[in-house]
Amino acid sequence: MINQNKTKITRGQFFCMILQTQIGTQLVSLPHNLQETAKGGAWISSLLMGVCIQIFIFLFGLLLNRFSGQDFYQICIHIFGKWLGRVLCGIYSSFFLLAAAFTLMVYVKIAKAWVFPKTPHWFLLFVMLLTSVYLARSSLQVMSRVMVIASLFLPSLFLLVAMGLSIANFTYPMPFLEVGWLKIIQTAFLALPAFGGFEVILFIYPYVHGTNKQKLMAASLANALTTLIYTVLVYTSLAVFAPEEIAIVPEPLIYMLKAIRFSLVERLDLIFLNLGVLSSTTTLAIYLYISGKGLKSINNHIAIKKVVPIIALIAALLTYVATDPFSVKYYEMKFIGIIPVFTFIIPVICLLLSFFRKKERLS
Amino acid sequence: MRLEERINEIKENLSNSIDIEQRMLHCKGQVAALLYLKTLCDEQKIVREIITPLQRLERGSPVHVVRSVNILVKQDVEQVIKQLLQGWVLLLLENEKNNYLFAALKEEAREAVEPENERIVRGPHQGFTENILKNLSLIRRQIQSKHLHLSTFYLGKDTHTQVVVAYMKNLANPILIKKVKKRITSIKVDQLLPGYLEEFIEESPASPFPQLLNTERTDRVIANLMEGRVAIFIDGDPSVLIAPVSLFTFYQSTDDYHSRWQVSSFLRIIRLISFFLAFQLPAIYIAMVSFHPEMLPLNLTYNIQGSLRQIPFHPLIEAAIMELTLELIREAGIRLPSRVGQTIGIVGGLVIGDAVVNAGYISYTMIIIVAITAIASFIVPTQEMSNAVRLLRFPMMFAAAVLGLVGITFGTMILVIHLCRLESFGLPYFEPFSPLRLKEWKDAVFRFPVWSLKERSNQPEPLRKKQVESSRRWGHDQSE
Repeated sequence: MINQNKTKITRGQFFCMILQTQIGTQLVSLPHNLQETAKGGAWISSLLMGVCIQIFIFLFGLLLNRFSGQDFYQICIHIFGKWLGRVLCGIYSSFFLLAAAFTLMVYVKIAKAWVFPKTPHWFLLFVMLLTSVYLARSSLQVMSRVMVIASLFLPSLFLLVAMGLSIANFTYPMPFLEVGWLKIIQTAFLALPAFGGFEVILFIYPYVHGTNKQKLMAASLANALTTLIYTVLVYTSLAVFAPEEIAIVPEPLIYMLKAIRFSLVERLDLIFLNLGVLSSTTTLAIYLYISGKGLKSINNHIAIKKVVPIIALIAALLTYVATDPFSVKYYEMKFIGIIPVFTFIIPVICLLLSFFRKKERLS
Repeated sequence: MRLEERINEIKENLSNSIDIEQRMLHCKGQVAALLYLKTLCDEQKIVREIITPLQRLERGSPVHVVRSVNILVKQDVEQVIKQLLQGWVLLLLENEKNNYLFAALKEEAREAVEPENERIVRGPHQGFTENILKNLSLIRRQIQSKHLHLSTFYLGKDTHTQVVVAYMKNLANPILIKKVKKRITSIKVDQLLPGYLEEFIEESPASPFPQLLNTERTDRVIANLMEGRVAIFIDGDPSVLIAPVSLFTFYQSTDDYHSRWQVSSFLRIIRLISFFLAFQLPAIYIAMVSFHPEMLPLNLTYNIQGSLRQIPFHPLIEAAIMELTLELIREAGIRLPSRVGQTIGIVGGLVIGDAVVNAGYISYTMIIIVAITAIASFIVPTQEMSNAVRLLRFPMMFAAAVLGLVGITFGTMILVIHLCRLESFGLPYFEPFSPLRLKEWKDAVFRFPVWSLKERSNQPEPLRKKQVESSRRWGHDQSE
């Protein structure tokens, strides 16, 4: 370490980083959102989303392997040329800014609803940004180390959720295919904000030690684990709450934990909320970092350390667009519309263009 | 120049101080003068080893007869002054231009007794002294290796303090050594008093955590040298600096290796728990009492709320008053002689503790919390870390008072991020946790049997990792 290249991270750290980006605050309302249209098949939707993302992870792998040592920003500039490529970097950077703003929005919504009904909006934002900006200003290596420590808490999150199974009624979600496959597949896309974060693979991949195969394996494992946790989580809430009940509970997981008691700790929901805060801070930090990295790839003189606080400030201001749960939901639906463009469509176009480019050069 | 003038020049250069001793004598049939600082030199030694042989000298060079171990011949006055200030004796001869210098430093070293602040139950009861030569000899005697390397630096334009960097040449990472030496040589100051050096060479001055280990124990320094770390000795300071360190170095005590490994592992875990308790416990109490009383079981909540009903203060104020009182008692206890110190303990602990509850200012629960916190912070085997941890609980208490448990989560996260960012000479400070190396937990978090620690800790990135070649092989040996 003392004489090593300090910019590279290990595969384990890469794994934890993807995991921490994917798992964020959005998970608490995931069962509610999916159940609305998919009913008892909501857990299948979540599983399908995981599989779909897995396919794209392989496509990402194809793209990244063609340009070894370059991250997606550099690839964009490589494929689209200096000007168009830089514009695209800027757009991507703003996408991550939006993602950060959206993460903040959901965090404030849940924090206000469950623990701090009277604390001012700006103060909740301030503490969150203080922590995540501090993290995002660190090097990639330090960030990845923090992600590893944060991941040590994931088993407890999983345990907390699984605890719900003790009060579950397994007939509630049945029949699974009540609404039919088409609806279930359509609903899967509603899970996208919760699963969102796997796209960071595009930006971190070249800074990981190991062969392409090993790196893809790590990314896939992270996605598989996220899918597993989400699916169990959705299934648990489906089994704990009756279908009519879940429709009126926006954050079923927290509500469920309120009912479970230990001899020493009475309110497990508070512990769960703290774990949620932890995961959303890490998610936010990575979004801020990657957004800053985008600006750096436009102009190499920009230091990530210096732009991250500015990006965070803009993201904080953006959250004032929606301060009540209903408008958050409204913007959430709009945001879901643009996520696939950035996470699925543009990378695939890049992949196709890279094939085309290669041929051009050969002829 | 005449002898008289030469003597005056030297005296002038030493600010005509009263401790300059001048002794005229006859040597080789000419007038000669001995000059030295009597505050530094051993006068018996001068008589025995320098004056007596010189008076008998009839021809030849004084160099051949003087019985001093170190002899120098210098022309330059500046250099002569430098040597005089280090306890050397100057010989001036009337008809010779050469300045002869003989070492005659008074050896003043106290016994190598066990340091007061790092006592252990079992193991060697030996500590460093204020004399650097004695300290180095203590190390040399116990590491009889050709690889032990010592290099010396003189720091401080006026104080000219001797600083010695010691390391094992076959273990310590060359890049680390380069870093240490570069940082030491870059110090350009008038005075380098003991205790200054740490602040000059540490990486993050803003951090509350000590980034070098300060110890007065010889066995501790030896163990660290053998792990590939660098020890920095400063003349006049019994505490030796060790670099690079991780957080867990501060939680290892040498007597861990003198008791059964199960016991030591248990104690290490207790210490790590105490690390969290020392700054989290008051914060958790505040969060529980003022934010989430419903989190605790019902009976406990009634109990605590019952004792809190009469208290006029917010839990944060209550905790702050008590914590500050405790710091007050502690600080007062340090400066006083031990007999008066006991009185302070009784007045502070018993009288204040009891009266403050009876008067209805502070609740009993708070007293318990403060007491546990204090004890937890004293468990740390090193003073520096104990202080750092005690300081941390105030921001943590504030965070808890503002946002409850969520505040503690944010506070802890900032602390963990800080620890992950922190480096000691370019090496990670929070090592076996970040980067996560489960293998290193064997000696950092637990204390596995010594024979099972086949490899050295990777934290200082030693050149050679293997430390146990073979052990406990007798079971396979049929001849026994």
